[in-house]
Amino acid sequence: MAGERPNHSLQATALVNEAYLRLVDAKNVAWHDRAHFLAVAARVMRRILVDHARARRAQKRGGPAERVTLDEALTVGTDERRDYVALDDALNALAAFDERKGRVVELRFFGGLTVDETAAVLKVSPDTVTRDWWLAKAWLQREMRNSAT
Amino acid sequence: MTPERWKQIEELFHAARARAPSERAGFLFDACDGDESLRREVESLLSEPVSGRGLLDDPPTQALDGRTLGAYHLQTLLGAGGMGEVYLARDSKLGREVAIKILPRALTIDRDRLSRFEREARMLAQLNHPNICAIYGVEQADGFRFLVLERVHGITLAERINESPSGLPIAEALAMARQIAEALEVAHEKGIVHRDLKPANIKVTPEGVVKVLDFGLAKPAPDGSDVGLTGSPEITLGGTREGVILGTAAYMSPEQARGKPVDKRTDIWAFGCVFYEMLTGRLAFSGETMSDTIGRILEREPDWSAVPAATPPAIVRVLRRCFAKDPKQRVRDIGDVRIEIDAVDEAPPEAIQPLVKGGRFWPLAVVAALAAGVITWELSRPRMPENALAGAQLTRFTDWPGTQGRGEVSPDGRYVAFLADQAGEFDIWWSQVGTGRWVNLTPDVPPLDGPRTDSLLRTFGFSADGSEIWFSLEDAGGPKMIRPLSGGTPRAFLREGVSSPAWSPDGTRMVVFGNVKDDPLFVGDAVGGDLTPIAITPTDPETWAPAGGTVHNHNPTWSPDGQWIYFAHGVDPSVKMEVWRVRPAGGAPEQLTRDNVSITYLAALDARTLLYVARADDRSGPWLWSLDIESRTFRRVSWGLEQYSSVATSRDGRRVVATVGNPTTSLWRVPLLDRPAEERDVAPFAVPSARAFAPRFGGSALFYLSARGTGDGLWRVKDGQAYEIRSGANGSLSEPAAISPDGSRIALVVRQQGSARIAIMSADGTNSRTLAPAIEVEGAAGQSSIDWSPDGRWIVAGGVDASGKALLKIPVDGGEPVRLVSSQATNPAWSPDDSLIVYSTSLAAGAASPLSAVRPDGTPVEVPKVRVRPGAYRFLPKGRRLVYLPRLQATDFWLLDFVAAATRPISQLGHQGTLRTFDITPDGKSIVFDRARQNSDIVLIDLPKR
Repeated sequence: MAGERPNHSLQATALVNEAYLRLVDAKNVAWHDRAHFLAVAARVMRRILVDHARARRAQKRGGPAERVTLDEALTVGTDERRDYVALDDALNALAAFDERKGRVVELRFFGGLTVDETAAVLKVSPDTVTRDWWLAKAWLQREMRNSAT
Repeated sequence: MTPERWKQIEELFHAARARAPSERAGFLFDACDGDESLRREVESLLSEPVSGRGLLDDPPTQALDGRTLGAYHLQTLLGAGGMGEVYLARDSKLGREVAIKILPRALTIDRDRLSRFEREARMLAQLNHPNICAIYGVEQADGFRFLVLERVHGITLAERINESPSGLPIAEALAMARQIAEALEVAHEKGIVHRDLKPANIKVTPEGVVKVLDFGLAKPAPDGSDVGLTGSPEITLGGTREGVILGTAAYMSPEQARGKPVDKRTDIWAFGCVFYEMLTGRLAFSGETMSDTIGRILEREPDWSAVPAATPPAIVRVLRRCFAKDPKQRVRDIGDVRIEIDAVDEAPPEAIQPLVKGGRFWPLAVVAALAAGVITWELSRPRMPENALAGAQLTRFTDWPGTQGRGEVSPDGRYVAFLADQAGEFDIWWSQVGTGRWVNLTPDVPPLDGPRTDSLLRTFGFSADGSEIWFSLEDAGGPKMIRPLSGGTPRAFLREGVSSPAWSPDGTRMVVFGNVKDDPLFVGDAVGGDLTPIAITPTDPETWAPAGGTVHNHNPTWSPDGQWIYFAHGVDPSVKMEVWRVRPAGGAPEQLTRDNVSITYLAALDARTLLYVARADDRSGPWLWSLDIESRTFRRVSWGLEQYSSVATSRDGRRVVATVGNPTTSLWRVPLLDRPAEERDVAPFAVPSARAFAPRFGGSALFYLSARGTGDGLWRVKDGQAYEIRSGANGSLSEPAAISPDGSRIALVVRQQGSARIAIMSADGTNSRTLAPAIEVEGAAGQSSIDWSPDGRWIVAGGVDASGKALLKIPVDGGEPVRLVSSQATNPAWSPDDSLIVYSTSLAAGAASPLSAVRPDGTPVEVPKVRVRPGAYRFLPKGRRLVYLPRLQATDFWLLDFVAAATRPISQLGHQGTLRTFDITPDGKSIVFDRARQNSDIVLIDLPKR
């Protein structure tokens, strides 16, 4: 399947632990099936990552985190460190005029869902998910680059 | 964006993507029919990479903390440099802390680049020097590739320089420069060039040791096209990237700035920049923009007037030679710089008299100073002014034989009180500093718990005004009395069931903790009345009480402004207690330290500094540490091999009282006599090892644990020769071996990666195999948790199998284990007449356990009611008699005769140390035991006025 990567599910699993812990506390969230749970988990994961990124931004402004400089020596231009705060902003902007694409990104990227799982959650065809995913990625990338300069 | 417009864009985007790339422009031109903005919009979207290398194609890589990659358990995110995260991790194989740098995915998907990188990392892994942050290797697990690096505590040199805007003290700058030069020298000898030396790449540990990071990783690829491993020369615009490069540009050599090939002389230039910055607090070359900076590097000299006048001229000369624009004119070899610094070191002018060279002879100096009874000593090295105890005077307050327990100081700093056993029992002694008179406050107070007191359990402290001392009569939570320093009848103090009273700085309030589940904290009035619980509402209950377990809150103490209560908090006081704080009125608690082990004493030094006693995470110590509350950074402030077992501070923080010791562990022999043996009957039991404990006789040999380097291994002495027969790195061996009755085989409990398994081997350590791997052995720390049957066919062990806790009898040569007791039953000992197996039923920290017994066939047996230290019991070879220690801090042996159902003490030893493990000699006539001596004294640490 296009864009599937072997370690994607692993990392999603890694995130699920924390997401799950947050969910267990949110007792008023009722989910009926696995798809719904995954969708909720994706939302929570997004929040975790974005909160984390915001906290780290705050730390950079003189917080207590230990600085480790290991280093831009390993930096690769095409894989610049992702800015989850900017991604969150761009995703909100996208969802404002195309909510479904926003959800596709949330489920695929933050939730680690496969195309088929995403299709099941959104009750659309896998083909639609794939097309949404392509366009949303292109739009978000462009948006984030434009907002960075 | 209107929905109609977006729909148009979407349709065209997918329609164009369905076509070959070469046809897309033409298709769009036609389809947009003159709508230029539509065409541009779709074209720009089409130009975005949407498969493989796009923004969202790598999954989120954060939140790896808490996961395990291979042998590494990722703990906390230490930070992020450039890109990719660095985690603090535990290497479960080697039991050490490491830093794990997750490599960027873009690096790992390119095979060529990856293999080049790995080659290089392997080469760098050979750089083994105390001033170089070690690279342990490149590994992969679960689809991640990562560098495993030495975990370096401390701050970066950049941060250190920031703290001293006008430059570091010259002695400190020289000491660090020397270490940096030494690191470069070692690397250059191996042909490795750093290429990106700068203060942010240099760390300074709390002990003042410099560690250079990221050696050689900044090496450009041979084809010159590779950005991946290049540090500085790649200059891009926009975003944070430019900032990163700007920071690096300041340390670029002229040849680097011109894009020419670089060699070790580039490092010498950068070294000059770093050295200059340490001396002056400013960059050697800086400009408004990067091109300004580069212009200055190429054309200008650094501002020499900024170099402090006290800098030795030889240093200024060598620094100038580091800054020669033409590499050929530059210092040729960094070793030459190091030699110049050494020369200054050896003939120090007045200004740098206290400079300590390289830091290597310090521990020795400390030992020598203390041994010679020298009473003052700078606790911290002069190059570490941020050490909370910098400039302190150290005075030995007691120089008494025996053991000094915890020390306390009155709020005004004039009086010091401490526990000492110089009168035979532990009493509370006090003295007014400077008078040389010591008074026993408790000569008439009955010692704790029968014939011997216990230095751990007797708690005491000064009253808020310093005129009285309170003390506990039983254990910490029991009744307490308070008595004026001048003597007189003590009166009752504080209600039972609460411990560790501490007064607020104004003396109007008191904090205590309750001796019930979860140690609740209470605040009350000055005499401990009106105690109200502090409502603690953790924001993260999992961190506060993992898995909802029981928690402990010990040693509450007030901040100097009375706004906070600091306390040691954790799940197991003997394993892990961290510093937390909470408002006296309650609310969310805040965790202030991480990764320390078992914090015990806490004392506020000033508004932002706490002192505490804790073991290091490698279990060494306990040492004295300071915590800077604002930055949440902690550091070890004691230096040398002396262990710190208590700390207290006066209210103004200028007098610190600590218990400092040099513990030793060795073997002794005491005969079994008709009367209780006394100290005069005790003789050292010499073995040819530096340190020995956990003795066991077997056949004609003696086995014991001893250390050679790190970790205690199992040693065997036979015919006067000692051999290590099983190494035990990282605490994997901690309890006595079990030797088969015929002396031919050894059973050992091996602790690794959090589990404990039984290993069986021949008496020379060969033919080792794991016995009953499904059984997780449980038992009291440091004591036998397994034993052999008299016929040598079975091992009995307490532990957990698939059905839960049990006492199990395991056939040594194959077969199913047999459950003898199906509940907690640990540390068994099998009687030589095969009639009984005795065991303990409680492992509560510090508590004695009732002794229970079962027949080897599993029938329960009634035994006399005695309490024992779990595992600290051995049968005599003949008769049904058991030698045992009655409790944790026991100083005497007792004998239980099962036939007569009677107990009696069989020794009455002096307070020469705490007994831990022992064995009966094969002839049944003596006990050979290990005894830990504290050799401790009370020390005053007086700080200069700030």
